[in-house]
Amino acid sequence: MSNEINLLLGRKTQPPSFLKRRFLFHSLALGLMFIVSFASVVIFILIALTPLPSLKEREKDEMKRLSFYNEMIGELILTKDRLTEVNHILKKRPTYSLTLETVRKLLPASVSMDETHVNEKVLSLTVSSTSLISLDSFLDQLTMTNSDLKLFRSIKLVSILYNLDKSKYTLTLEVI
Amino acid sequence: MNNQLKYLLRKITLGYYSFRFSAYFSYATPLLLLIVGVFIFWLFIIPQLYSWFSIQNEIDSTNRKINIIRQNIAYVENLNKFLVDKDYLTSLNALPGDKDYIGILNSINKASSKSNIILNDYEFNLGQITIDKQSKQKLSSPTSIFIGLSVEGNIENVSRFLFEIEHNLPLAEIKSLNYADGKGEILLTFYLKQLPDIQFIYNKPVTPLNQEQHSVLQSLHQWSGQ
Repeated sequence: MSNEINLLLGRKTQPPSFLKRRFLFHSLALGLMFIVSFASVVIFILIALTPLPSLKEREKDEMKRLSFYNEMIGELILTKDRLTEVNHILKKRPTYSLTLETVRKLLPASVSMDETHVNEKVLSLTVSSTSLISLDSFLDQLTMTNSDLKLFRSIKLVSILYNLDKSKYTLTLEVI
Repeated sequence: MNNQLKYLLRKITLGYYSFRFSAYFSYATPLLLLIVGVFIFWLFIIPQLYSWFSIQNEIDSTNRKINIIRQNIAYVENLNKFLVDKDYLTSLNALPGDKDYIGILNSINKASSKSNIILNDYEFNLGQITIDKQSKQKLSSPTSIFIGLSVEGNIENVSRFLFEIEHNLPLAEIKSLNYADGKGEILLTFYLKQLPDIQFIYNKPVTPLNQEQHSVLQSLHQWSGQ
Protein backbone atom coordinates (compact mmCIF):
# COMPACT_ATOMS: atom_id res chain seq x y z
CA MET A 1 0.00 0.00 0.00
CA SER A 2 1.32 3.43 -0.92
CA ASN A 3 2.15 5.79 1.92
CA GLU A 4 0.66 8.69 -0.01
CA ILE A 5 -2.94 7.46 0.56
CA ASN A 6 -2.42 6.20 4.12
CA LEU A 7 -4.28 8.59 6.38
CA LEU A 8 -2.51 7.47 9.58
CA LEU A 9 1.15 8.50 9.95
CA GLY A 10 3.45 5.60 10.95
CA ARG A 11 6.30 5.86 13.45
CA LYS A 12 8.93 5.84 10.82
CA THR A 13 7.47 8.92 9.21
CA GLN A 14 7.72 11.10 12.39
CA PRO A 15 10.47 13.78 12.35
CA PRO A 16 13.88 12.70 13.84
CA SER A 17 13.88 15.51 16.48
CA PHE A 18 10.56 14.25 17.85
CA LEU A 19 11.89 10.68 18.01
CA LYS A 20 15.05 11.86 19.75
CA ARG A 21 13.06 13.82 22.36
CA ARG A 22 10.79 10.89 23.03
CA PHE A 23 13.76 8.54 23.45
CA LEU A 24 15.33 10.97 25.95
CA PHE A 25 12.13 11.19 27.94
CA HIS A 26 11.80 7.43 28.11
CA SER A 27 15.45 7.11 29.20
CA LEU A 28 14.95 9.71 31.90
CA ALA A 29 11.91 7.95 33.31
CA LEU A 30 13.62 4.57 33.32
CA GLY A 31 16.78 6.04 34.83
CA LEU A 32 14.83 7.63 37.67
CA MET A 33 13.03 4.36 38.35
CA PHE A 34 16.35 2.57 38.50
CA ILE A 35 17.85 5.18 40.87
CA VAL A 36 14.84 5.05 43.20
CA SER A 37 14.93 1.25 43.34
CA PHE A 38 18.67 1.15 43.90
CA ALA A 39 18.55 3.84 46.63
CA SER A 40 15.70 2.02 48.43
CA VAL A 41 17.62 -1.25 48.50
CA VAL A 42 20.89 0.37 49.62
CA ILE A 43 19.29 2.40 52.42
CA PHE A 44 17.32 -0.62 53.59
CA ILE A 45 20.52 -2.69 53.83
CA LEU A 46 22.42 0.13 55.61
CA ILE A 47 19.70 0.58 58.23
CA ALA A 48 19.32 -3.17 58.75
CA LEU A 49 23.08 -3.61 59.27
CA THR A 50 23.49 -0.74 61.77
CA PRO A 51 25.25 -1.78 65.01
CA LEU A 52 23.05 0.41 67.23
CA PRO A 53 21.11 -2.37 69.03
CA SER A 54 24.33 -4.18 70.03
CA LEU A 55 25.84 -0.86 71.18
CA LYS A 56 22.83 -0.18 73.37
CA GLU A 57 23.23 -3.63 74.91
CA ARG A 58 26.90 -2.92 75.57
CA GLU A 59 25.96 0.40 77.19
CA LYS A 60 23.55 -1.38 79.53
CA ASP A 61 26.24 -3.90 80.50
CA GLU A 62 28.75 -1.14 81.28
CA MET A 63 26.16 0.71 83.36
CA LYS A 64 25.53 -2.48 85.29
CA ARG A 65 29.28 -2.79 85.96
CA LEU A 66 29.42 0.82 87.12
CA SER A 67 26.48 0.33 89.46
CA PHE A 68 28.67 -1.98 91.63
CA TYR A 69 30.61 1.17 92.62
CA ASN A 70 27.58 3.33 93.43
CA GLU A 71 28.47 3.56 97.11
CA MET A 72 31.99 4.78 96.45
CA ILE A 73 30.80 7.27 93.86
CA GLY A 74 28.17 8.53 96.28
CA GLU A 75 30.84 9.05 98.95
CA LEU A 76 33.04 10.89 96.45
CA ILE A 77 30.21 13.22 95.47
CA LEU A 78 29.30 13.94 99.10
CA THR A 79 32.94 14.50 100.02
CA LYS A 80 33.27 17.06 97.24
CA ASP A 81 30.08 18.77 98.35
CA ARG A 82 31.28 18.97 101.95
CA LEU A 83 34.74 20.22 100.98
CA THR A 84 33.29 22.93 98.76
CA GLU A 85 31.14 24.20 101.62
CA VAL A 86 33.98 23.87 104.15
CA ASN A 87 36.25 25.88 101.86
CA HIS A 88 33.60 28.56 101.58
CA ILE A 89 33.18 28.69 105.37
CA LEU A 90 36.94 28.81 105.99
CA LYS A 91 37.30 31.74 103.61
CA LYS A 92 34.55 33.72 105.32
CA ARG A 93 35.36 32.74 108.90
CA PRO A 94 37.36 35.29 110.90
CA THR A 95 40.36 33.82 112.75
CA TYR A 96 40.34 35.61 116.08
CA SER A 97 42.70 33.14 117.70
CA LEU A 98 45.45 34.02 115.25
CA THR A 99 44.83 37.73 115.73
CA LEU A 100 44.74 37.48 119.50
CA GLU A 101 47.85 35.33 119.60
CA THR A 102 49.74 37.74 117.33
CA VAL A 103 48.83 40.70 119.52
CA ARG A 104 49.59 38.79 122.71
CA LYS A 105 53.08 37.87 121.47
CA LEU A 106 53.84 41.53 120.84
CA LEU A 107 53.23 42.43 124.48
CA PRO A 108 56.44 43.37 126.23
CA ALA A 109 57.09 41.65 129.57
CA SER A 110 56.03 44.71 131.52
CA VAL A 111 52.66 45.01 129.78
CA SER A 112 49.75 42.79 130.73
CA MET A 113 46.50 42.20 128.91
CA ASP A 114 43.67 42.90 131.32
CA GLU A 115 40.61 42.61 129.13
CA THR A 116 39.79 41.31 125.69
CA HIS A 117 36.51 41.64 123.88
CA VAL A 118 35.74 40.24 120.48
CA ASN A 119 32.52 40.97 118.70
CA GLU A 120 31.48 41.46 115.05
CA LYS A 121 35.08 41.53 113.78
CA VAL A 122 36.11 44.17 116.32
CA LEU A 123 38.83 43.21 118.77
CA SER A 124 38.95 45.43 121.80
CA LEU A 125 41.99 45.20 124.11
CA THR A 126 42.76 46.72 127.43
CA VAL A 127 46.41 46.53 128.38
CA SER A 128 48.16 48.03 131.37
CA SER A 129 51.66 48.75 132.50
CA THR A 130 53.51 50.85 135.02
CA SER A 131 55.61 52.22 132.18
CA LEU A 132 54.33 54.43 129.42
CA ILE A 133 57.44 53.61 127.41
CA SER A 134 56.48 49.92 127.42
CA LEU A 135 52.99 50.79 126.22
CA ASP A 136 54.44 53.00 123.52
CA SER A 137 56.78 50.22 122.47
CA PHE A 138 53.81 47.85 122.29
CA LEU A 139 51.89 50.29 120.08
CA ASP A 140 54.90 50.67 117.78
CA GLN A 141 55.29 46.91 117.48
CA LEU A 142 51.58 46.56 116.76
CA THR A 143 51.53 49.13 113.98
CA MET A 144 54.75 47.76 112.43
CA THR A 145 53.44 44.20 112.49
CA ASN A 146 50.17 45.30 110.99
CA SER A 147 51.91 47.09 108.14
CA ASP A 148 53.81 43.84 107.39
CA LEU A 149 51.04 41.30 107.93
CA LYS A 150 47.99 43.45 107.15
CA LEU A 151 46.00 41.81 109.95
CA PHE A 152 43.72 44.76 110.65
CA ARG A 153 42.06 47.47 108.62
CA SER A 154 42.44 50.00 111.44
CA ILE A 155 43.84 50.37 114.96
CA LYS A 156 42.01 52.89 117.12
CA LEU A 157 43.23 54.22 120.45
CA VAL A 158 40.09 54.47 122.57
CA SER A 159 41.49 55.69 125.88
CA ILE A 160 44.56 56.07 128.08
CA LEU A 161 43.98 56.11 131.82
CA TYR A 162 46.24 56.41 134.81
CA ASN A 163 45.32 54.61 137.98
CA LEU A 164 46.77 56.48 140.95
CA ASP A 165 46.24 53.65 143.44
CA LYS A 166 47.95 51.02 141.33
CA SER A 167 50.31 53.49 139.60
CA LYS A 168 49.43 51.93 136.34
CA TYR A 169 48.66 53.19 132.86
CA THR A 170 45.77 51.50 131.12
CA LEU A 171 45.41 51.61 127.37
CA THR A 172 42.27 50.58 125.49
CA LEU A 173 42.51 49.80 121.78
CA GLU A 174 40.06 48.75 119.11
CA VAL A 175 41.35 46.87 116.13
CA ILE A 176 39.12 46.08 113.18
CA MET B 1 -29.68 15.85 34.65
CA ASN B 2 -29.22 12.65 32.65
CA ASN B 3 -28.62 14.63 29.46
CA GLN B 4 -25.95 16.73 31.18
CA LEU B 5 -24.26 13.59 32.44
CA LYS B 6 -24.36 12.00 28.98
CA TYR B 7 -22.96 15.18 27.48
CA LEU B 8 -20.10 15.19 30.02
CA LEU B 9 -19.28 11.54 29.39
CA ARG B 10 -19.19 12.08 25.62
CA LYS B 11 -16.87 15.07 26.08
CA ILE B 12 -14.47 13.02 28.25
CA THR B 13 -14.51 10.16 25.73
CA LEU B 14 -13.81 12.59 22.87
CA GLY B 15 -10.98 14.18 24.80
CA TYR B 16 -9.43 10.80 25.57
CA TYR B 17 -9.49 9.61 21.94
CA SER B 18 -8.11 12.96 20.70
CA PHE B 19 -5.17 12.50 23.07
CA ARG B 20 -4.89 8.76 22.37
CA PHE B 21 -4.24 9.26 18.67
CA SER B 22 -2.17 12.43 19.02
CA ALA B 23 1.63 12.60 18.80
CA TYR B 24 1.97 13.36 22.53
CA PHE B 25 0.44 10.09 23.72
CA SER B 26 3.87 8.42 23.67
CA TYR B 27 5.02 10.91 26.37
CA ALA B 28 2.27 9.87 28.80
CA THR B 29 3.85 6.70 30.25
CA PRO B 30 7.32 8.10 30.90
CA LEU B 31 5.77 11.25 32.35
CA LEU B 32 3.72 9.17 34.73
CA LEU B 33 6.81 7.18 35.70
CA LEU B 34 8.74 10.38 36.34
CA ILE B 35 6.02 11.77 38.60
CA VAL B 36 5.76 8.53 40.55
CA GLY B 37 9.55 8.32 40.83
CA VAL B 38 9.89 11.86 42.15
CA PHE B 39 6.99 11.23 44.55
CA ILE B 40 8.62 8.07 45.97
CA PHE B 41 12.01 9.78 46.20
CA TRP B 42 10.62 12.79 48.06
CA LEU B 43 8.31 10.97 50.45
CA PHE B 44 10.29 7.81 51.26
CA ILE B 45 13.95 7.89 50.18
CA ILE B 46 14.85 11.26 51.67
CA PRO B 47 13.26 10.58 55.12
CA GLN B 48 15.00 7.19 55.20
CA LEU B 49 18.27 8.96 54.46
CA TYR B 50 17.69 11.39 57.36
CA SER B 51 16.85 8.48 59.58
CA TRP B 52 20.13 6.78 58.65
CA PHE B 53 22.11 9.95 59.52
CA SER B 54 20.36 10.26 62.86
CA ILE B 55 21.19 6.60 63.57
CA GLN B 56 24.83 7.39 62.86
CA ASN B 57 24.68 10.31 65.33
CA GLU B 58 23.08 8.03 67.88
CA ILE B 59 25.89 5.48 67.33
CA ASP B 60 28.55 8.18 67.91
CA SER B 61 26.79 9.42 71.04
CA THR B 62 26.42 5.88 72.41
CA ASN B 63 30.08 5.15 71.76
CA ARG B 64 31.04 8.31 73.65
CA LYS B 65 28.81 7.35 76.59
CA ILE B 66 30.32 3.85 76.69
CA ASN B 67 33.83 5.34 76.72
CA ILE B 68 32.96 7.69 79.59
CA ILE B 69 31.39 4.87 81.60
CA ARG B 70 34.52 2.75 81.07
CA GLN B 71 36.72 5.66 82.15
CA ASN B 72 34.59 6.08 85.27
CA ILE B 73 34.87 2.37 86.05
CA ALA B 74 38.65 2.43 85.54
CA TYR B 75 38.98 5.50 87.79
CA VAL B 76 36.82 4.12 90.58
CA GLU B 77 38.49 0.67 90.43
CA ASN B 78 41.86 2.31 91.06
CA LEU B 79 40.67 4.18 94.14
CA ASN B 80 41.55 2.95 97.59
CA LYS B 81 38.22 2.32 99.32
CA PHE B 82 39.75 2.85 102.74
CA LEU B 83 41.01 6.32 101.76
CA VAL B 84 37.71 7.25 100.14
CA ASP B 85 35.85 6.24 103.31
CA LYS B 86 38.36 8.12 105.46
CA ASP B 87 38.02 11.30 103.37
CA TYR B 88 34.26 11.01 103.43
CA LEU B 89 34.11 10.59 107.22
CA THR B 90 36.52 13.47 107.80
CA SER B 91 34.57 15.84 105.55
CA LEU B 92 31.34 14.77 107.23
CA ASN B 93 32.85 15.32 110.69
CA ALA B 94 33.91 18.80 109.60
CA LEU B 95 30.45 19.76 108.39
CA PRO B 96 27.88 17.29 109.72
CA GLY B 97 24.61 16.72 107.97
CA ASP B 98 22.74 16.81 111.24
CA LYS B 99 23.20 18.18 114.77
CA ASP B 100 26.31 16.41 116.07
CA TYR B 101 26.20 17.15 119.82
CA ILE B 102 28.73 14.45 120.62
CA GLY B 103 31.18 15.91 118.12
CA ILE B 104 30.66 19.39 119.56
CA LEU B 105 31.13 18.26 123.16
CA ASN B 106 34.25 16.31 122.19
CA SER B 107 35.66 19.32 120.39
CA ILE B 108 35.09 21.60 123.41
CA ASN B 109 36.50 19.09 125.87
CA LYS B 110 39.52 18.39 123.69
CA ALA B 111 40.25 22.12 123.29
CA SER B 112 39.88 22.80 127.02
CA SER B 113 42.18 19.92 128.01
CA LYS B 114 44.86 21.03 125.51
CA SER B 115 44.70 24.66 126.64
CA ASN B 116 44.47 23.99 130.39
CA ILE B 117 41.52 26.26 130.96
CA ILE B 118 38.76 25.58 133.43
CA LEU B 119 35.45 25.03 131.69
CA ASN B 120 32.39 26.05 133.63
CA ASP B 121 28.80 25.21 132.83
CA TYR B 122 27.75 25.90 129.28
CA GLU B 123 24.53 25.93 127.30
CA PHE B 124 23.38 24.91 123.88
CA ASN B 125 20.54 26.35 121.94
CA LEU B 126 18.99 23.18 120.57
CA GLY B 127 16.74 24.58 117.87
CA GLN B 128 14.42 22.21 116.03
CA ILE B 129 14.87 18.54 116.87
CA THR B 130 12.88 17.32 113.89
CA ILE B 131 13.02 18.85 110.45
CA ASP B 132 9.72 19.35 108.61
CA LYS B 133 9.37 19.59 104.83
CA GLN B 134 9.32 23.39 104.74
CA SER B 135 12.48 23.67 106.86
CA LYS B 136 14.23 21.11 104.64
CA GLN B 137 13.96 23.47 101.69
CA LYS B 138 15.61 26.25 103.71
CA LEU B 139 18.54 24.03 104.77
CA SER B 140 20.39 24.24 101.46
CA SER B 141 22.95 26.60 103.08
CA PRO B 142 24.92 25.90 106.28
CA THR B 143 23.17 26.53 109.59
CA SER B 144 24.65 26.92 113.08
CA ILE B 145 24.34 25.69 116.63
CA PHE B 146 25.17 28.40 119.17
CA ILE B 147 27.00 27.52 122.38
CA GLY B 148 27.81 29.87 125.23
CA LEU B 149 30.81 28.93 127.44
CA SER B 150 32.26 30.25 130.64
CA VAL B 151 35.98 29.71 131.05
CA GLU B 152 38.65 30.52 133.59
CA GLY B 153 42.33 30.92 132.92
CA ASN B 154 44.96 33.38 131.80
CA ILE B 155 44.82 35.10 128.44
CA GLU B 156 47.43 32.74 127.00
CA ASN B 157 45.31 29.71 127.82
CA VAL B 158 42.15 31.35 126.55
CA SER B 159 43.91 32.25 123.32
CA ARG B 160 45.11 28.65 123.03
CA PHE B 161 41.55 27.43 123.67
CA LEU B 162 40.24 29.59 120.84
CA PHE B 163 42.99 28.32 118.55
CA GLU B 164 42.09 24.68 119.35
CA ILE B 165 38.39 25.32 118.74
CA GLU B 166 39.11 26.93 115.40
CA HIS B 167 41.39 24.05 114.38
CA ASN B 168 39.14 21.20 115.33
CA LEU B 169 36.16 19.33 113.92
CA PRO B 170 33.29 20.05 113.53
CA LEU B 171 33.96 23.52 112.13
CA ALA B 172 33.30 26.31 114.59
CA GLU B 173 33.46 30.07 114.59
CA ILE B 174 34.07 32.39 117.52
CA LYS B 175 31.21 34.83 117.56
CA SER B 176 32.18 36.80 120.64
CA LEU B 177 34.63 36.80 123.52
CA ASN B 178 34.48 38.80 126.71
CA TYR B 179 37.52 38.24 128.90
CA ALA B 180 38.50 40.12 132.01
CA ASP B 181 40.24 39.30 135.31
CA GLY B 182 40.95 35.70 134.42
CA LYS B 183 37.38 34.85 133.41
CA GLY B 184 35.81 34.76 129.98
CA GLU B 185 32.47 34.32 128.26
CA ILE B 186 32.74 32.82 124.79
CA LEU B 187 29.98 32.43 122.23
CA LEU B 188 30.68 29.79 119.60
CA THR B 189 28.77 28.55 116.59
CA PHE B 190 29.22 25.09 115.13
CA TYR B 191 28.26 24.62 111.49
CA LEU B 192 26.12 21.95 109.98
CA LYS B 193 24.53 21.47 106.58
CA GLN B 194 21.98 18.99 105.40
CA LEU B 195 23.34 16.33 103.05
CA PRO B 196 22.16 16.93 99.47
CA ASP B 197 20.37 14.38 97.31
CA ILE B 198 23.01 12.57 95.31
CA GLN B 199 22.58 13.10 91.59
CA PHE B 200 24.98 11.05 89.53
CA ILE B 201 24.67 11.14 85.75
CA TYR B 202 26.34 7.91 84.63
CA ASN B 203 27.66 9.28 81.35
CA LYS B 204 29.39 12.29 82.92
CA PRO B 205 33.03 11.78 83.97
CA VAL B 206 33.77 11.25 87.66
CA THR B 207 36.43 13.84 88.46
CA PRO B 208 38.91 13.69 91.32
CA LEU B 209 39.20 16.41 93.97
CA ASN B 210 40.65 19.64 92.64
CA GLN B 211 43.72 21.21 94.24
CA GLU B 212 41.73 23.52 96.50
CA GLN B 213 39.53 20.71 97.79
CA HIS B 214 42.59 18.52 98.29
CA SER B 215 44.29 21.24 100.32
CA VAL B 216 41.19 21.73 102.49
CA LEU B 217 40.98 17.98 103.04
CA GLN B 218 44.61 17.85 104.18
CA SER B 219 43.88 20.60 106.72
CA LEU B 220 40.80 18.75 107.95
CA HIS B 221 42.78 15.49 108.35
CA GLN B 222 45.34 17.41 110.37
CA TRP B 223 42.71 18.98 112.60
CA SER B 224 41.01 15.66 113.19
CA GLY B 225 44.35 14.24 114.32
CA GLN B 226 44.72 11.74 111.41
